[in-house]
Amino acid sequence: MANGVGDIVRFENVGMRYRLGAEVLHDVSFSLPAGSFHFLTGPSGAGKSSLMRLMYLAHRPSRGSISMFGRDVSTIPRSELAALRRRIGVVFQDFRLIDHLSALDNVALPLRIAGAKEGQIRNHVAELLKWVGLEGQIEDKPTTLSGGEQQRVAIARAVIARPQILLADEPTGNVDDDIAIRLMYLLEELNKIGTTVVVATHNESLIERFKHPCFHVEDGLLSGPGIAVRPARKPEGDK
Amino acid sequence: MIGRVSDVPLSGDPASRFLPWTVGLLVFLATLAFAAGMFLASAGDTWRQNLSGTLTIQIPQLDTSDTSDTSDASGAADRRVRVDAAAELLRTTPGIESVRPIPDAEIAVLLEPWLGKQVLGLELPMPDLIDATVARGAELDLAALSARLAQVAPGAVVDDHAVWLRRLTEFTRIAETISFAVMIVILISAVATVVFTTRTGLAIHSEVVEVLHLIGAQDSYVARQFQNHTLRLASAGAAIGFMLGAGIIWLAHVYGGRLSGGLLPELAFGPMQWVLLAALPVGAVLLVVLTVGITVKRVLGKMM
Repeated sequence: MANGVGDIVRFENVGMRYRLGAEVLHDVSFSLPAGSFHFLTGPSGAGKSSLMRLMYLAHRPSRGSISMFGRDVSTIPRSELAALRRRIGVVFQDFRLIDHLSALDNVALPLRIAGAKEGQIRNHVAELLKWVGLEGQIEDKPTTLSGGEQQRVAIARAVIARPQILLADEPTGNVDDDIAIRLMYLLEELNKIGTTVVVATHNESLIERFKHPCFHVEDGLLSGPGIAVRPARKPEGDK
Repeated sequence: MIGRVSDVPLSGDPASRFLPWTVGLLVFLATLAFAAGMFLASAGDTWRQNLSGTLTIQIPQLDTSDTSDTSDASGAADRRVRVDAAAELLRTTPGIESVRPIPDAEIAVLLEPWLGKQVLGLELPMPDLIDATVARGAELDLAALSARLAQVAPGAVVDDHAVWLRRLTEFTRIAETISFAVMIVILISAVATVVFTTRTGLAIHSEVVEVLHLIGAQDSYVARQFQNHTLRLASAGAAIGFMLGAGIIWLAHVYGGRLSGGLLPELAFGPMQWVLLAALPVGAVLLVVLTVGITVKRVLGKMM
């Protein structure tokens, strides 16, 4: 991956640990140019979700530096993080829909948080739910929707505010192959209109079918053929 | 935000269900404590105004037990002469604005709570009393005045109420301080309850709060969710608590006068005092809502 000015994400020698536990990511260095589409693969527990958490600003790195949209996340004041997060759409592995809200209200959340006017929200959200094939379930609560329908609500919520980057953690993990392929086409449509997309997945057939560059995480180390992965920086004093 | 479902499902929380009752009870108690404080302040002022700038002259009845030829009629005439002489002396004393001998019937009313309605029939050796009002700023030589009064009315005692006034002032100030301290302790209890309820709510809904954060919500957005919820519950509780408190005050106003027998000033608040009293539940709700906002922001401040 070229070290371009248009990089939307840049990791340099990033290490990450949870509290005082062992490091789960080691010397991760990579960058994503705006408008790119990448897969992120690796076995369970290898660090995919941890890497995603760093990208959607749920966690700070233990070391190294992360730059999102040209801003150094390690030094940015906490009060400015919310504005950065609004530029990131996230599809969580477990959807994280809010059960007592309707599909419409779940999808509307990013707009309400951004301060959009109520009058504009309903039409916009209804249009997007129609696009993901849920026009008949607008008022349904997540608990009454199937796994695939919840997945699509989660995707709609992630993209409603037109994020610059979409991070999807196992977005096809709970749906059958047909729906998985439909969801992938949906993500490609978003990518075509300029959204940078990263999809973390175990699904080898999807990776085969949709020819996008692929990161691989294993034992906390990031690699990937065809992707400009920076070599790990040697510790200081190690000549 | 108002009119649609809150993003954080706080309505079903067990702690939330008790919040209106807790706030209601605390506002009820705070209203009574505040009212007691204002009543004591007002009563103290009334007593001070009534007593300061006044003198009471007591003229004891002469001991006539060894003069067997003195009739009741001549004794009464003698009393009248001494009272008139003392009153005349007071009227001509510079600095004294008005003089009023207190009739026996009025003295009987003052003694009625202790001695009953038939006090005049008891033939007690009650002293004669004269009320005198001192002009504002006048400085009387009480020792000289006492000496002059003793010449026209032997045994006359001049009481400027200084000791009583000092004790009364001390008592009302202590009681006022206690009342307001109780009110503040009650409000602190309300704050502590709300901090606990809010922290519990944040712990129960930590996942929803994290989702809101990750899709770009500022701390203030999350805090507003909690504040709007608390505003509704606390307003209802405070309104009920205040109405109950105001009802008790009204009952005290209606029945308190009869019970105190004129010893206490009437428990009646002026418009300004009612405005202050009505501001208490409003202030309590604002305090609670502000506390919720600060608590939420402090807890969220520890997150990334």
